Amino acid sequence: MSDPLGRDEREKRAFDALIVSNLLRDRDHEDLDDLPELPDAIKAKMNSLPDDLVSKLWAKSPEGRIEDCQALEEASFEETFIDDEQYAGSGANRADMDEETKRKLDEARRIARETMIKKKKWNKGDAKS
Amino acid sequence: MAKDTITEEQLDELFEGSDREFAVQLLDAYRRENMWRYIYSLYRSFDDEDIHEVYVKALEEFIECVKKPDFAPKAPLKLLQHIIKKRAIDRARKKCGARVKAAGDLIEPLAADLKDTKVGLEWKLMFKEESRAFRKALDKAVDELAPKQHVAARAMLEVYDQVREDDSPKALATRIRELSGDDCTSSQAADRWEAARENLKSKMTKAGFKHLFEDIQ
Repeated sequence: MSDPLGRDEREKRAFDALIVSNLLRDRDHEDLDDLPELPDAIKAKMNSLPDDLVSKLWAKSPEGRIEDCQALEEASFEETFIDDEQYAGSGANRADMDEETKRKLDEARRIARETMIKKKKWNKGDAKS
Repeated sequence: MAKDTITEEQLDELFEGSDREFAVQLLDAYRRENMWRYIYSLYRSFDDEDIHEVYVKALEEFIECVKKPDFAPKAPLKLLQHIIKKRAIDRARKKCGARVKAAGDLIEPLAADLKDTKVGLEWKLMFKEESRAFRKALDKAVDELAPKQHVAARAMLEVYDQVREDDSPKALATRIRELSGDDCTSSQAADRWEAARENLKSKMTKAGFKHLFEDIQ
């Protein structure tokens, strides 16, 4: 079967996909190695913030803008993190998955996230034996 | 700026305590750089004022939550990150109508482009440490692009799916015009992206990832 794009064009598009997927990926805010360096001007601005920033914000903090902080936190746990297998493929190319498989993958991810939360609680001694 | 010497577990414990203002102060002292770099990673067009506004607004909302006596965050850092992301998206949209994308939004066109290619295979075969090094090198390479190429790269992040769907650089040209004010035609947009790609390929080759691009002429 002939390849309408040609091999070179397909490899270029694959490289484009690699660039885009890596630049748009979810970053680990805890890992400075995973985060881009700040340009000098931005770094200077960051360092110029007052030492009492939090105190000032705490003192003036208005109420009523956020009604349901619990829901906000739960939403933070529901963010879907796409890992490499899903678009680079490794026998698990999501584009080829049927709905049932996608549902099972999402369920597995949900269970993994809940396990992480329970493990955190256990480590703090909150879990019941 | 304090060095990063407080763990996530220590912060979690502080937020369970009674002095939450102190907990937020320590969070800001030890994690501010992480958060600013995270904001920058979300949208590379942000300048210092953009990131400042996003951070301060997010901190205000975060403080509003932790001040509530009936609310104790289970994962305060994660909560702050989530709020930051929402504020960053708002700011990006207000700034220039940015269509902020996440890799998860593009999974099908990305997977289709990587499938059955050498680039895709080499990426799959990469060990975790190597892929981390690749990502770090790519971040640096993008930041070092010449201005017009940098704008083309930023635009491509926002319109990648449209470019693929249309099989045309028209959406890329439109977005470059919106971002830069340049009178950029479709042909020029394609050239700028091609130049950015060549530049990135060259930099990534020098960084030791030649094997990924050997089949690209």
